[in-house]
This record gives sequence, C-alpha cells and structure tokens, in this order.
Amino acid sequence: MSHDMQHMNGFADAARLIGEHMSPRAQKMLNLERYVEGTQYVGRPNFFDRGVPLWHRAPCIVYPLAANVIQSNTDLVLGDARWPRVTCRPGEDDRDFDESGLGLEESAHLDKLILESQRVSRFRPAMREAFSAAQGCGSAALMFGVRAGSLFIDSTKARWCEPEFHEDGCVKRLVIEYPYFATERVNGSWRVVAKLYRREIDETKDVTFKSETMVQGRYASPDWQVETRVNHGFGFCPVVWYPFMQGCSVVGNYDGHAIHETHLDEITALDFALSMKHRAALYSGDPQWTEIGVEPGYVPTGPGEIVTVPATSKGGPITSDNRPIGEYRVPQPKQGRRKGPGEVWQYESPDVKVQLHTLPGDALKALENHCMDLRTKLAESMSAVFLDPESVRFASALSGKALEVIRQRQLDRCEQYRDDATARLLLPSINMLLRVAYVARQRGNVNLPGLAKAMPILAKSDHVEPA
Amino acid sequence: MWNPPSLSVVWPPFVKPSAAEEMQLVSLAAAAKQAGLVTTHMALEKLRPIFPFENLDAVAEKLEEESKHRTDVEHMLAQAMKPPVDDNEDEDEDEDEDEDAVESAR
Repeated sequence: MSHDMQHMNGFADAARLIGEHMSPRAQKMLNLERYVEGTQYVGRPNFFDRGVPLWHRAPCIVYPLAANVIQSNTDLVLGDARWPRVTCRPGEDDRDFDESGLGLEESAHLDKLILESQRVSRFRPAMREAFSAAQGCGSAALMFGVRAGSLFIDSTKARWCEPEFHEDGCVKRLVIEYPYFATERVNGSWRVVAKLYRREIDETKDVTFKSETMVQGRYASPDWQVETRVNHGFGFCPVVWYPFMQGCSVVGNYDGHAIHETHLDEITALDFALSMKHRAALYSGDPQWTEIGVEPGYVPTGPGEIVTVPATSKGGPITSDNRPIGEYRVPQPKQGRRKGPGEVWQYESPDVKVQLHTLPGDALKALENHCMDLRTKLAESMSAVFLDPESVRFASALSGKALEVIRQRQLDRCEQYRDDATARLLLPSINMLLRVAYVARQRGNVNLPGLAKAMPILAKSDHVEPA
Repeated sequence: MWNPPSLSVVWPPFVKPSAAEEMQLVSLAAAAKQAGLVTTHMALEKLRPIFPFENLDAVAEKLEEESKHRTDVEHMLAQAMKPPVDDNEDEDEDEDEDEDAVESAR
C-alpha cells in the first residue's frame, strides 16, 4: 500500500473490508511480520504527542531486533561460506544394499545435475528467502515449475496461503488468496478500493483468477472468473510448505513458530525504553531554561525567526514525489527569541532570575542499563549472540575456535535449525526440482544440462502407485 | 509415486579454522599416525574439516595407491642410481690374478 492512499477517498472503507477479510491466522502472521519489518506501531500517535498517554504512542526508536536475529541465523545456516552440499554420496555404490540404489557413476552424475538445477533455479536465494520468511512468521511456501524452458522457484507469503496435505505431508493443493488496496476511477475521481486476489495450484493445474473488487457482504464467495490457467499436468502439486521448527502441534495446524512470537511485549518494552532514552538525551542536550520576574512572552533579544519543520506525505525532505502536507511549528510565542553563541539576553529588572535546568551526568545511566538489560534478555531468549563493535574489536584477534565458543549458544540453536531445514526445506525442495525436471523433460519443455543422461537415473524414483 | 533418490545434506563447520589451527590439526594427525597411535582412517577422519571428502575408504585406497606408486618410483630410482657393473673391471681383476700367480710361481 502506498502511503499516499491513506489520504484518498475510500481508504477507510477499503481498510475495514480488508481487515474483516483476514483470518485470525493471517492477522497473527501479519502482526509477526510487522515486528520484523519495524512497522508494528504504524497508526499510533507520534511519540512526542503529549495529548495521549505515553504507552499509546508509537516509539520513535524502533530497534529491528527480530530482523537482526533472523539475518544472523540465515547467515549462519545458509550463508555463502556455510552453504550445505546436497549429495547422493558419489563415493558409495548403493546397489548391493538396495537394488534401486545408484552406482558410482550414476551418483556422480546426479550430484552434477543437482548442482546445475540449483544454479538455474536460483536455489540459494529462494532457500534463504524461505528460511528468513519462516523465521519471521512461522511458515514459508515455495512454488516450483518450468518457465520459458528453465526451472524456477517462486515464494509467496504463508499468511496468504491455505495448503491441503497428503498423508505423507506433501502438499496436495494450495490456495493463495489475499486482499489488497488498489485505486479506481469512479465518476471521474480516484478512490481507494479493496480487491481480492486468488490463485489455486493442485496436481494438474495452476489457475489465477481475475481480482475481484470487494463489496460489503459479497466478498465472502465472489463469482471468480479465470484469468490464466496453466495445465501443468505434473501429477503432483509443485509446492513445498516449510513450517519453521514446528515440533509437536495440534491437528490441523500446519504452521511453525516464528522466532519472536513469544517476545513481542519485550520488543515493545525495548522500543519504549530506547525512545525514552532518546527523549531524555534530547532534553539533556538542549536543557530547559526558566525565567523568573519577567512578563510572559518577554523577549530579551532582538526578534528571531520561528522555526517551522515541514511535514511530508512519506516523511523526510520534500521532493517531487514527496509533497508537503503541513508543517510543525511552535504555537507560542509569536515572536522568536535568538539563542546561540554571541546572542546576549538582557533584562531591565534587577529581580529577574534566569536558570538552566540540566540533568545530572548519570541521568541516562538508568535508562541505558535498562535498554541493555532488555536487549540482552531478548537476544538470550532468541539464542542470538550479537558481536557489538566493542566485542568485534576484541574478537578480531581471536581464532575461529574462540569465536565458536563465544557464539556457542547461537550455533547450538542453529544446529537445530540446520536439521529442521534439511528435513523440511532443502531435501524436499531438491526432490521437487528433480521431479519437476524429470516430468518436464518427458514432454521436452525444459533445458537443463545433464538432464538427458540423468533421465534413466531419475526413472528409478518414478514408481507406479500400487492400487 | 515419487520415491526420491537417497540424498544427504553435508553442512560445513560454522566457523572456519584459521590457517594456524589447520596446521596444528594436520601436524597432530601426522604425528599420531607416525607414532602408530591411530589408523589412517582415524587420521583422515580428523582432517575431514580441512580437506573435505566424500568417501573415507576411497581416499584411504587412493592414498595407499599413491604410497605404493611412490615406493615403486623410489625403488626404480634407486636401481637407476646404482652404478653399472663394469665387465672390463672383472677382466682386469682376472688379469691381475693371473699376474699374481705367475709372480708367485717365479
């Protein structure tokens, strides 16, 4: 949604329709995503707005703790230097153990094919996106296929998806449906409307429907019109569903657990503490004056200029696409007072007292300690070890082993993430790539070096389902 | 029905050892092997993080081949370096012996 839409006609109605359409599950996941993106306080009054209680305002400092932890975990698990190798162990001949196993040469060729299929399908970025997204909201969905002769992997937001599963856990059908803001010209003027997108992927086809404009009371079961239909005919649903660290769960729940799902209050507390520290630092840096014995509004200097701060639609400086929508200015006094080096304040009355109220030197210490305490607790809860500038200076002289010891907590957790990603993300995705390539090759519509030679090898995996 | 090939995911260590740490590990493995405290397989397994490989048996077999080849080459070199047997020298020795016999007869 563009920020400009908020000031257009119809926005409130569209926002209400979209809010009503979202399921509790989608709302929960959206909330988790907002804590990652740092948009969880959007809509609240400004932090310096004294018209509302402090706790109802939006903190002015939003520390991206969840995003930092997610990025750190993704670097540790799927970073370039730590990228795992998927192999069918070309040094081993499995035929003695399993008659459908692979011989030495077959294994070596399949390994090369796996590498090639990863390269053409942008496997690494897709896996990193899925791993990060699943940490952020609990799940991730990946869709596989052949586009213009090449294997591809697309991702979509899990909160938009409703998957159905086979007994073996493979996806049987995926429905992607989400509401979104759009603009339409109605009677010559532009207004915001809510639209609904829908796509269905199953074992034979991939159908995208024409987006429907949402109308109160009608959007629950719209009359969907097919926009595009692809009869992929794979015979299986080309989707991998990745529930992050799902563990034991109630029946019907197919989502995993976001890394910060039980720490939202603490993240909010940290943002407030940081914002209050910021505010205190501003007050310490620009202390308060008081004058006693002068008339209200008296200016002891020559006239000064009243500072105004322009407000723009997207925040930040005025540009061609970021128009001013107002300005912030001090309502009183009418006349400015000069302040700065060389500006002398003069008073006629000898009874005038002028005082400067400064905070003591350790005024910020309590807030500083509190912020550090909250950050440490959160990092500990999420098993993240941040190498701050202070520790990095120290760590630069350390050996790899010593660094490993320092980050042991996070590495131990990442070992679990590795196991989880191996079983639920990497191997299913590689298998899906090979399976899509195998079926597409039979129809001759995929280009993948080495695939022709690998077809007899892959044919060993393709069994006729017993009746 | 798709019965996927048996695949494994091999994860590298989280933190790459420094050059000095790698050197220490190599020296340790070499020393233990030389002292007869560990087998070739055990030493190789210890070195796997530094010199990644797939199949331990295949590497051990290859090492044995290389070792045998080296022994053969050394043997051949030793043979090649050995001074050739001089037939004239034998004849000279025979002549010397004859001369000695004549001398003693006189």
